[in-house]
Amino acid sequence: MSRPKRYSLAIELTAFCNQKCGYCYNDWRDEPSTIGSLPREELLGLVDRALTEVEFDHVTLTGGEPFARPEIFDVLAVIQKHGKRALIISNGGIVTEAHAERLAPYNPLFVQVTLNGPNKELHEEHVGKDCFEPTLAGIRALTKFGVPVTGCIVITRKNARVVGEILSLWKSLGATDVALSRYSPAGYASEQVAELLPTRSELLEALRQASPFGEAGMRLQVTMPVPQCVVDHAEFPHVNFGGCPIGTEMQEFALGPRGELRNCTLHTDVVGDAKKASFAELVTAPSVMHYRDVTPEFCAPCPYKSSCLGGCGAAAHSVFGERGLDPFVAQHVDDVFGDKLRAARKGIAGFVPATRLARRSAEGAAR
Amino acid sequence: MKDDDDDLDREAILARRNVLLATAMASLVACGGEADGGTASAPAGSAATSTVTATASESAPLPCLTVEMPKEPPPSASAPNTASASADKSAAPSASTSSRLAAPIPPPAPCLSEAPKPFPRPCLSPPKKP
Repeated sequence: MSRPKRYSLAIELTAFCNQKCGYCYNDWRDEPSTIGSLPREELLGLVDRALTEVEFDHVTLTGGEPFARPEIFDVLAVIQKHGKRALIISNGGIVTEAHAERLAPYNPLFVQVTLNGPNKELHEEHVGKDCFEPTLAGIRALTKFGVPVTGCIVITRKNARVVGEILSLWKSLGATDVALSRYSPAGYASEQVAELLPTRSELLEALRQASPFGEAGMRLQVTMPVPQCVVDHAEFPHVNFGGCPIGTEMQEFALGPRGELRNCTLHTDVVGDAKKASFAELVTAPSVMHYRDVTPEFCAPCPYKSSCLGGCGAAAHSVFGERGLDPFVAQHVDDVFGDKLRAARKGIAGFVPATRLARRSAEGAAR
Repeated sequence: MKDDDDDLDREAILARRNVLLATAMASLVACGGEADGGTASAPAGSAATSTVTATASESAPLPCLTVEMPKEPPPSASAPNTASASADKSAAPSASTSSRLAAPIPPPAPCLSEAPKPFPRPCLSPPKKP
């Protein structure tokens, strides 16, 4: 079989994480010990085979918290052997100067670290207690040893109106590139959809606060789909937008901690078992190649539907149990869903996303 | 249970969708009825893909979830992109979902589904080589 080209492979090195983020899209977020991680030799063999069978542009190391896995440096060595570079998604909280010093020679593209508030209180409201200072220390350690750090803000209902203050913090930390990751209710994060999903108005406010930073030279990239019907991208010329790349050569696949390959880190559906099938076969599997055949009915008249796909399909699947309209859009145009969110926000009735409900039912039946 | 912002957001989205459609139609008229073919991304492996050699930016924020879209293939090469045309029926939105959605505006003629480039801004040109 020929060697296909794809943009990236995100390797989830471990399910363990030192933080407990409400917006975490890992489906295993509240039970990492049941997932674990691949044994060292098996992991290294898979990474080596992935880079042999598919021409990935680069590799993303994530988790869980990737620095919680000591073998991260062994994985970096395999990536380096193939002439590729890695970028790392970390919360920064367990990164020490020793980590940073050891990491620097691998010349990573960057380490992406998230801050969700301009202060300890708001940041920790998103990620759990006693995480703010360790994250700042991790950022400073990486910077000290010349490892590029890219900022990230997960934009939620709680922080959308202080994004300008958070960007000021990032600026003070020396960040020139910041990802604006609009909260997406996929996987575990879908449990918090009522609490965290920003409205269109809230996201617009966040983008308005971000714009001056972009105008001043900070590179801002919105890293979750924001459909054109919700936000006119042209109104924010200093902010970069994009769309879901699944099914294109720009796709970033996810290699899970059990060796399963998925369409992206947010999707829970498994394309196939990479321990048994070749990566070349998996990245060209029908469920990947036909992903873009589906768009929500709401999008039928829209000229952008083929590129937009109605937003994040993983979030739609998590919340509604099927690929459809992104809950970020649906909250405003799906009356039933909108009413459920409002009821949950007022404490009148809880909202349990479809896939989480199915999961609980399955777990209950198994007991 | 709704507040003013809810109503404003809903109306803004529906109005914006109409603007997008009108813009697409105007573009078609201006082009003599020929779509410029920039809407959809090419399926992986398509010869029409324009970003095959795109590489990760040296310092750009992680484009882990949204990236620039490849150039669209000619309409004749496009995969079907509506739920009803999907080969994967399990993934198609159900009638129960669609009935919950706001009333859609009438769909355009099939030729109008291929319209202006969705992401024409220069920032989405291929990233530099690391």
